[in-house]
Amino acid sequence: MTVPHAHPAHPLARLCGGAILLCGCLVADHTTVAGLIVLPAVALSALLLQRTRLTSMARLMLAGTLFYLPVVVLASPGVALKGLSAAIVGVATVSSLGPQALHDAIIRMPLPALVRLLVLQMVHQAEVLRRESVRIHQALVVRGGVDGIRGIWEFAKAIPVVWLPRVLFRADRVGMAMDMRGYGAIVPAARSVRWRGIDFGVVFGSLGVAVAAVWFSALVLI
Amino acid sequence: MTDLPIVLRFDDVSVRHSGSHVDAIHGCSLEMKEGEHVALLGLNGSGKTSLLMAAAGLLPHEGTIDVDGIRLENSSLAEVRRRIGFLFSTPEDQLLFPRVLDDVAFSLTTQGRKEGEAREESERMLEAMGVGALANAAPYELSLGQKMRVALSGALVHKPRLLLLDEPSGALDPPGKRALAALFAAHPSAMLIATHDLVFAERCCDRFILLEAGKVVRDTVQIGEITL
Repeated sequence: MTVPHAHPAHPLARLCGGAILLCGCLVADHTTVAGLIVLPAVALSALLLQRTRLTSMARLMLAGTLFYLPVVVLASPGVALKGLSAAIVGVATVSSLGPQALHDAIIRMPLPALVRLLVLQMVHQAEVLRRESVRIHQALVVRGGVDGIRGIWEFAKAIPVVWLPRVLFRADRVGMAMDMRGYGAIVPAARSVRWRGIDFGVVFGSLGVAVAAVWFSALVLI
Repeated sequence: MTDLPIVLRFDDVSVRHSGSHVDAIHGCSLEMKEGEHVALLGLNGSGKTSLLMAAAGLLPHEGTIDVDGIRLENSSLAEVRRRIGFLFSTPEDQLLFPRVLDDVAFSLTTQGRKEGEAREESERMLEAMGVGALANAAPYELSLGQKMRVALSGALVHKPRLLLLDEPSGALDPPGKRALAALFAAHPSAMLIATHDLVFAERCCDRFILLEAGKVVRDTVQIGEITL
């Protein structure tokens, strides 16, 4: 998770805006030419809305493109573009919020209490797992003396045999701790939010982009 | 100490992990009285953690377990756990919030305390544990020793009747161990501390139980009678 930057809108408004754009990405038709134009536009809207830094934006694009490259070959460019756009919207939204802001925003989301608690814990554990992944990579580098592309390959090979079992055992232990501490029995308190013009602007702007994207993607241009 | 109420009673308890053919704990019977500090000693794999987990209802068991006079069964789990403070050997697993203060305060809000009151009390507990300056930090940014102190703050803050502590001194440096042992020694709650650190156990416990292959082989007040 990157260090968050100052943003005039409330975290809840930014999270709602991101969620709306994500829905727009998922619903937009990726099988039309219009859809192929619209999807990157929605992703770009999310990057601008969340005020993502240029360097983070470039890294996000590069990593996403590399990740979805096999999908272009195995499935279709439309599917890959849809996945890439949705991933960019999601990552841009989450990375623009710090852990505490994200926590505060999720608590206030208009969702059932159990869903909010589960999402909160998934977000919290995701950061813990990211750090765990970094430690595994460091251990591989130190023990195997490999780095660079070969290091990444070695790390990728280690995912099913090292990372996955660790994640499963960890999930088991965290589940026990949640049981033990009564997590889920009550929903952590959230203070009420006073919505300002910019917050409404972020939410309704996102809604406008999402609706326009869905509508435009359904048009047959050629 | 003979007239004090019993806070933990195991009667012929056996515990077996799913998929295993061997009992992790076999035919274990023991009693702990209010305020008693008991060290659960044994080598790795002797069943210390399984015994603690069974006492908190985290592992299924045969036989009977009573916590503070309440029979441990599915219907009484929540009631039993309100009376227990538990420290896992990997403290990171039990830190469930993005801010240290919120994590500690959660232990109080689950007991029905008001948010502001819970935060104030949690701040005092963090100060007492020597990590007051970390109240606004994210748990994953802390060192292992700091995580241990924060997790311990969450386990102690609601003043449980029984503390179940799994290797609490494992991640601490020598001064940290001494400070923790002094804190435990002065703490009024009953404690069952799983450890293989005999020096630490001697500093904060008044009774010592040795486990070998899931069985209690010695129960004594003289640590000199125990070798690992």
